[in-house]
Amino acid sequence: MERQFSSQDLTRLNEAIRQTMELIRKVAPQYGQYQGQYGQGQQSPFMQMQMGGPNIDRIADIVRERVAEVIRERVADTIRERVGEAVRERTLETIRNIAQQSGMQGQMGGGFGGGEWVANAIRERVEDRLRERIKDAIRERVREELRERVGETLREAIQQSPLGQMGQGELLVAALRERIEQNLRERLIETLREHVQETVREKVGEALRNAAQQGQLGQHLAQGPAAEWVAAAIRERVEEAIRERLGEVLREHLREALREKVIEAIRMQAMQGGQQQQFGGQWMPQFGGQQHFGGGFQQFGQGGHEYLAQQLRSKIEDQVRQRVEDAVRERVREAISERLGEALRSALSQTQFGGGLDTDRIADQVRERLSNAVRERVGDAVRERVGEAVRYALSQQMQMGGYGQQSM
Amino acid sequence: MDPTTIELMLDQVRAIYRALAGADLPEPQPDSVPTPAEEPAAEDVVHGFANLEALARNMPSVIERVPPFSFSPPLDAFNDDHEILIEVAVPGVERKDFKVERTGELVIISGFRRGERAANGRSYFHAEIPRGPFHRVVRLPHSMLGEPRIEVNQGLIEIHFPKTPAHKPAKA
Repeated sequence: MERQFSSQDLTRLNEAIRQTMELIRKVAPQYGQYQGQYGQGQQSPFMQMQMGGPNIDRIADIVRERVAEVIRERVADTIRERVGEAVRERTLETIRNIAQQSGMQGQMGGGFGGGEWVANAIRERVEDRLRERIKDAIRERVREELRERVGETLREAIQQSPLGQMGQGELLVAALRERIEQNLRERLIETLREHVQETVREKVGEALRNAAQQGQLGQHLAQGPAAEWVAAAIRERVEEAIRERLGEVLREHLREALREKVIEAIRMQAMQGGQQQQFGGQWMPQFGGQQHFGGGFQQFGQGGHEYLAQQLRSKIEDQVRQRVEDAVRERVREAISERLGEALRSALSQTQFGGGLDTDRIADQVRERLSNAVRERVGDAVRERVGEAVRYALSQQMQMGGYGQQSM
Repeated sequence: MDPTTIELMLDQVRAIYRALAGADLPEPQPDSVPTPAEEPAAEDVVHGFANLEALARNMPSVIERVPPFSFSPPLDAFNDDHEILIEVAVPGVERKDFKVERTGELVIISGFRRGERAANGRSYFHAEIPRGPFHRVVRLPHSMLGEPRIEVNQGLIEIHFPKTPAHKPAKA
């Protein structure tokens, strides 16, 4: 099968390429300024194959599907449990405190029993609704994000990798981490925030309305100091749920999903053949450097999985988790403290119906004010903190000599 | 670079041209042999081809009528008491179009699929089946297997690795 090509063959091909490019400029002028994507991060399928592309695409596909599905199931289920539990605990605790401090146990309708009833009702409504909403939203967001980022990142990392294999592994991990973190976290937080707010608005209102109708919640809670306590209860509940539960859920499951599934995908690809080691050199010997691309993947196939897993786990989680949690906690607390009390006071003072709770009004005001405040503050804070964390992690990695002078 | 690869690349360029222009690519003068100074570097030509492919893949009117170039064919691997069988699906492949190499536990199957040409007034109405070079590597469960027997059967490359006595299960 091996023969040498002639100069004439090559010239004919070159001329054909030139003529076809010229034709494209004529019939599709929007491509007239095309300077070629080759070498700028994006490659044709042909060049992708030369550089291990089809396998990168397969990895990207596998990662996307698996991570999206795993995060969807795990996060949704865990959020349901943990947020539900948090809501129940905090609601109950606060209602008890209110009753004790004000000597109003008898006016709660069912006394402590009424508190239990309200807490359980809120929990049930919030957790089921939240689970369903978050499940699909997360799957879509994660899938979108990974679709955009994983293939591109892997290709770029491989292109930019130094010839040393260890350097390539480091670079690949760092690039993956940076791209996925930066965007996925923002999208997830955005998604969670929206859905938590919407769900709490709908379901807390519904639960309170039912409680009032069924005599489980006294009408006096609509006025005076009790209104403040109700505000505190909701504030506490939402804040705790976001700070503790969502932070845990994201940390655990994002880490787990990325670690397990990325490695699984790469391992599977390595088992399919270590193709990358051979790409290019077989039939395009002029691309001598491609042997190195293969070498990097070969590394993953022979124990590099653990290395990659360790890198992903430690770098993604340790550097980013704490900062994001802190940022979310602080900003959510600020926003809720300022806006929720104000919203509730305003809504309650406008209640016209014999002191009963106008829960729809409360819910609307809470939603509106919280949405704006939290969106602004959390978005900025998370961006800022993730940026800090990533910079810190990268600088540490570079100081350790992982990938030398490679630009990221 | 293998001349067959150049030929397939040229066919691919012709297919792109035809999808764009609705006519065949003008053929160069047969006596235009380049002087050494004019001869393009192989690497530059491959770059140019890659750029053209990338550009064409962004054009909806072209992508539908130009087959994917280069691919990794799907494969199955079977294991029984007597042999390990690898089947690689490459429609229309002929024995002369591929080679099988072995390095330790790795088996490398590479070659090209010629497919149909879009030339001489013939063009793709719809193109999905990839053509051009292909490449797969399989890791065998044992390194000490016998010499493979290779067959092509209805679009499947069949590679039979006989097991040596050391790898056959002991009889009860």
